[in-house]
Amino acid sequence: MRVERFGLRIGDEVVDVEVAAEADQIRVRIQDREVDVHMTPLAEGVYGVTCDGRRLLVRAACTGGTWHLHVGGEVYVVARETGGVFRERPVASGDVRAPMPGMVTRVFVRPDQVVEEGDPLYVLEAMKMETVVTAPARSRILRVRAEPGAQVEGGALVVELEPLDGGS
Amino acid sequence: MFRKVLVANRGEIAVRVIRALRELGIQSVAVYSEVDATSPHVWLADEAVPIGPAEPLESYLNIGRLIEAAHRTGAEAIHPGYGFLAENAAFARACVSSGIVFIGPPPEAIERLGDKAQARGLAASLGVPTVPGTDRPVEDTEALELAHRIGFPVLLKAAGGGGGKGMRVVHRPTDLPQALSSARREAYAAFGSNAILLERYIPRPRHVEVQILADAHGHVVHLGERECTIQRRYQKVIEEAPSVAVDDGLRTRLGEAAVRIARAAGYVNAGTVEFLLDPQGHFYFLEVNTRLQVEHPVTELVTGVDLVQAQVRIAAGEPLRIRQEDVRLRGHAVEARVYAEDPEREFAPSAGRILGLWEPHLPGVRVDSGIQAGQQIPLHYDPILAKVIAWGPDRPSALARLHEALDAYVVLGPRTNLSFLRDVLSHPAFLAGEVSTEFLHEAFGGWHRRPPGPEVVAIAAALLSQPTPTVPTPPAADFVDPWDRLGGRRLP
Repeated sequence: MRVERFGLRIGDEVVDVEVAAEADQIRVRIQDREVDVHMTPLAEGVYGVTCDGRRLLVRAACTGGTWHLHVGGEVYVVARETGGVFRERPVASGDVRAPMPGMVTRVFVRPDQVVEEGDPLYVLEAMKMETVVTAPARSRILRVRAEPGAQVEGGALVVELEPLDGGS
Repeated sequence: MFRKVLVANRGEIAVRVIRALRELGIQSVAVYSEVDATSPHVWLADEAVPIGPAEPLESYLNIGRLIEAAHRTGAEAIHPGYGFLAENAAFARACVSSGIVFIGPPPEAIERLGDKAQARGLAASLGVPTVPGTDRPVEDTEALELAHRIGFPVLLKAAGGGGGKGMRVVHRPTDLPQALSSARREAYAAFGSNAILLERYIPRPRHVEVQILADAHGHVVHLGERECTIQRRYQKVIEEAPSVAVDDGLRTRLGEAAVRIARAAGYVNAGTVEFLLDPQGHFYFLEVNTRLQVEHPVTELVTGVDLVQAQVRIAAGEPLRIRQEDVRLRGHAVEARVYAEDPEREFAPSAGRILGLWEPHLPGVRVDSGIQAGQQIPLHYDPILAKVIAWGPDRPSALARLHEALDAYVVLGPRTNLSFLRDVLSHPAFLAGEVSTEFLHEAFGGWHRRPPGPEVVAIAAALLSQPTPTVPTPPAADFVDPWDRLGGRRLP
């Protein structure tokens, strides 16, 4: 019997699990609940899974420690939680991150400028669609980290700003 | 008939055209950009020619390189697919002047109809109703005055093309300058022209379009309508034929209006005449798409006409094989577009390697797919991966089949809209056919997929606890899901 405990990251959530494995019989404890999983590899990336008596066809692929698995019509991206690295503070309301990977085509603001909620900050273009990223609140611009023409990843911090309290 | 044809496109439509060419016994030439070397159209065609970097202007929009590729391979004709250069009169003209047949309408017809303002003028002169608006591109200085004259809310549209690129609804006069400059940039990036039209925005309309076929011998037929009301950001998502809102009388009136416009424009080849249908059943001419439409398969399934083969035959000078009285609509067909995007995050595009792919094979279901396992999905182009089209003797059975097919469609790697599409197909208003173009926005605004149940967590835990994966790891170290990174660490 092999037993291990780890944090399992699924989407944006982290769940603590305990896995006890004996041959191809696996018992997973999630909080106060136990689920028996029996997995039969059928083909590359295809498993027949019996889970608490329910039969499911599961497709899965692993890349760099992250598993993509398809169960019951939905795809989930899961990985082991490694020492809190993945659990970061939520994005502060002042951070205006790129909503998707793409190219910054225009920047409307410069440092020290004060913007109102909804004011355009920059334009991001991906797959021929333009998205105007706007200020989440009345704020002062601290720093602009990308120039027009720059390629940015999804989640990249393009404009740093500091929310100002209401009023003038 | 042609011996060899070059397909100036990529993705599912390139695959669709190459297959049609093979069925006609014609050799095919694919073209591809640097980031498309792993795309299926490259491997399916008889020959494949690299045409440049990822940037569309350097590859799929580069007229000189496409013509050169056709000459080098000895292709006698070019099929443009949809998007890219499909509605570009200069490209059609460049083909003709290089002795290559453009599989589409003559350049003059593209110009006459592809320019939305001219097309509206033509429709109005033929007595076809149009939406109030400008009949020529607007200058920045006059836009506000024109918008006031038309009445807010106004719609900004690219004069040079469709697909929602360069389109904005403007509710308040103060929003107009910003919307106009943003629409111009988007239109320029997509179509190479920043010309913008203004028109009255009609709330809660249905989008209905009529497929026409015209040969070079003066024959024009219409193949009934498609309903394309389910849209997000003016991008069609689910299309069907026939429309639940169109009866035989209306179908005849729409079809006759479409044929009249095609004849007056000297149209040849396949084309689509788009209309808005308001809740009172009035229709307004919108525009003509002088090309094959993404959603052409629903018409093929209810009429039995292969539109791509018809396009090739017409371009080769053959007369139409059907007359209007031969056109019969049989049963019902529904198409869902599978996009690489994340419906939970404003439909942001998702890219990366396809780690696993299982496509549905079910009775009455057709999959027009442009992807394959191991392929790298680039971020540079339209995010469409595939179309799933289901036929049934009636609408409920077609919808049930499509739902089943989407359930059996598995894409691992990039995020897709598959489970979103299934939820749309299950919505009572959609099942009842009671929708408008606002439907997705209104009914699915804050959509989230079902949270994982304990069995999903348990299966995930079991997979992660395996000492070595029983599944071989694909060579995909370069696959990066940007959303995973977002939560993973602070970016510089």
